[in-house]
Amino acid sequence: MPCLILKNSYATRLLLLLLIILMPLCATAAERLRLATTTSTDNSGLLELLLPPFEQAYHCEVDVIAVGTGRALRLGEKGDVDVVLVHAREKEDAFIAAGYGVERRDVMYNDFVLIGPAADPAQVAELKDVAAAFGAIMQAETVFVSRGDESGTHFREMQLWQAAGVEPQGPWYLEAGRGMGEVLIMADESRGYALTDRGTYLAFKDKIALKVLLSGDSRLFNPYGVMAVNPAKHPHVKSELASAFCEYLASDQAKAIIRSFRKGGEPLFYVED
Amino acid sequence: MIMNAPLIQLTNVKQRKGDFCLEVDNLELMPAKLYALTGPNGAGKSSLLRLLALLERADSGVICFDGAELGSEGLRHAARNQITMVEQEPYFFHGTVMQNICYGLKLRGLPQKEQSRRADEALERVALSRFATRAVDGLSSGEARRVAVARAIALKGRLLLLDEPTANVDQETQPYFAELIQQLLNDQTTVLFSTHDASLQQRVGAKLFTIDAGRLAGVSTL
Amino acid sequence: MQYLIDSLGTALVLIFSLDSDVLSTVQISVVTSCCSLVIAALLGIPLGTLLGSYRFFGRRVCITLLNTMMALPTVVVGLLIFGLFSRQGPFGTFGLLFTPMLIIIGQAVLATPIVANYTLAAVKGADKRILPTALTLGASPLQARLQLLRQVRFGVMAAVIAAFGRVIAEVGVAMMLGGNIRGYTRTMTTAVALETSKGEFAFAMALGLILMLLALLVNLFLNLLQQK
Repeated sequence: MPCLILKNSYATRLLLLLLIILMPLCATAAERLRLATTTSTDNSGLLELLLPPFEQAYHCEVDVIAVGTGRALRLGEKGDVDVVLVHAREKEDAFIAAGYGVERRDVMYNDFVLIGPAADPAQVAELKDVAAAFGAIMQAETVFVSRGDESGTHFREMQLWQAAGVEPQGPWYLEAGRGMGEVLIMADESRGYALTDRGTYLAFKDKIALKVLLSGDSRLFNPYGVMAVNPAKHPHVKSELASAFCEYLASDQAKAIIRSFRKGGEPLFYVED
Repeated sequence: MIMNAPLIQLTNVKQRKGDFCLEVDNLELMPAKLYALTGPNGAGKSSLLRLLALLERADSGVICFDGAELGSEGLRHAARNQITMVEQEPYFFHGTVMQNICYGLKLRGLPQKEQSRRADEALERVALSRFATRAVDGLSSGEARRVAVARAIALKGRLLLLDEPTANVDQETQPYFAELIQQLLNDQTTVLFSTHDASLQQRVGAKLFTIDAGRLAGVSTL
Repeated sequence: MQYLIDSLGTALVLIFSLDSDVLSTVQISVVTSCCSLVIAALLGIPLGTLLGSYRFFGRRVCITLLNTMMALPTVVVGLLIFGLFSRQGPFGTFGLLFTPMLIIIGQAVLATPIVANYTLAAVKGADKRILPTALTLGASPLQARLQLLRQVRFGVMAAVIAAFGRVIAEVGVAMMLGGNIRGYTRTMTTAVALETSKGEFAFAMALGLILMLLALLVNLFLNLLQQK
């Protein structure tokens, strides 16, 4: 009876081909460390420079799962990843306080910027205060495109609306529910405003017509932190490797790499000396 | 094995299909004998043949093959290996005449050489020796019927069932039929064919069964 | 218009220079899709044969279920399987989340109903005389069913090809279950999604072209088989 199947030479040839292709999949010799981070961090390209020295030193592979900040933290809470790298300080502190993570470390920082059309209908460029700028946008009812996806950027945006004492509502306020790049393109198309991290703006500078209208406000400060998932809550996580990773990100070696990382001549991230 | 023990025996067999009910009180087919089954259209000839071919199960009653009652599927399969049938509209698998004939031979585990030998022998007996490599698609109905017969006799079963073997077939096919039957009887094969043609039965000297509205009447001996 | 032509040019360069990122996504897509097809065939063909051959209690329910599953959006399937295999889920201990293995499982879930449905149609539409003919020639019931499948093999092959089309081009399952990890679970489709979100249309177009090429090759292969 088996000969009836093997007789079909196509089947045997296909099976052999499949086995050959499958070989690389089976090669899971290296240990894998799961890192949840934000899409903007991943899209910046920094990790491609930052991870290899660690991977080589510890003979492992770091799996980067890039999702929104909210989702990244949830993955850490559920123990689906071993370590979390995000930029939402309050949320990170809550994460540690609730016992989901151990040893938060500062990694780097950059800033958010408020971008908009060069014509600046809401006239935010004169204001130094970003909360006041948000208020002005609401008053003028000019288009504002929000991430709307619980990302770090979105959290900050919500905080700024709160600081301005207003709740954004109306046809001018577009909640995109998409990544930063897509939001920038959408804002460009609608000639509207948006809050973005500087890194993504620099990456898209040549593709859109919007300009940086406001920056430097202390409330636009954007620190990144790394946290290892608590092994007490999730015993299966690779806690040793995760700890080593956190230590590495705060090390001088990592700082040097971050400092040297530039796009279009400008640094995307900064580190404390 | 006692020589006058029946090859296949149906006792109190009933089969119901919708409104139609097939009833056989007693039917015995002896080894190396020739039987004909006649009856009007819709009388149940094909149903009885399918029952004898063990393709379908009866609702009640006993079927014995070679003295053994056929209860389990295993026994039925073993018996089916010794029974062959040629349908009125035979179906062929995609491929050549040779491939079709060898299908059953392959199932029985015969070596390639033996398969070819038997296939060639069977084709010769139906006068289609040149047809081994022909595709089954291009056969005329007469040729198709003969290939189906060849396919069945190559298996050298002990019981051969034929459903209307000479119906709708060109005249030239008929003479070989009588000769073929004689050869099969000599090989100790029991042959049962259903037919409309009463004269055919007389010509070949078959024992006659008649069936009407699902009821089988006894053997009329010659 | 100009930017489309520029993107096309860059895309062709990426393809012919055998860019390692491009190759990696192609390999991962092809491997996961093929593996999921193997599973789908092993499950779907017998299932379709069963449903097409026998009447049994609950048959209609099964067929309705299959049809529903075929129409499910891939994200929904991805979500369901994510729930099952994340650490919180019943199968969390296997740690399969964000591995190629889970993409394969997810895509198998997508592909199996298609294979089963097409096989069901092929078997139902098969000549009614195949089984009795095989049986009278000495086949066991199982052998007879296999012979029937061989007689409708083009219908079954069409089933597998159709399933391949569904899984090679889907994003939802691969994204949710694989996590789009570079060099590990980044398929052609998730890569396209990522690169488009970054505004890298040339890369996205390169992958799109390869996807179309793959579809073409698969169809040519099917044509070749049919001619034999």
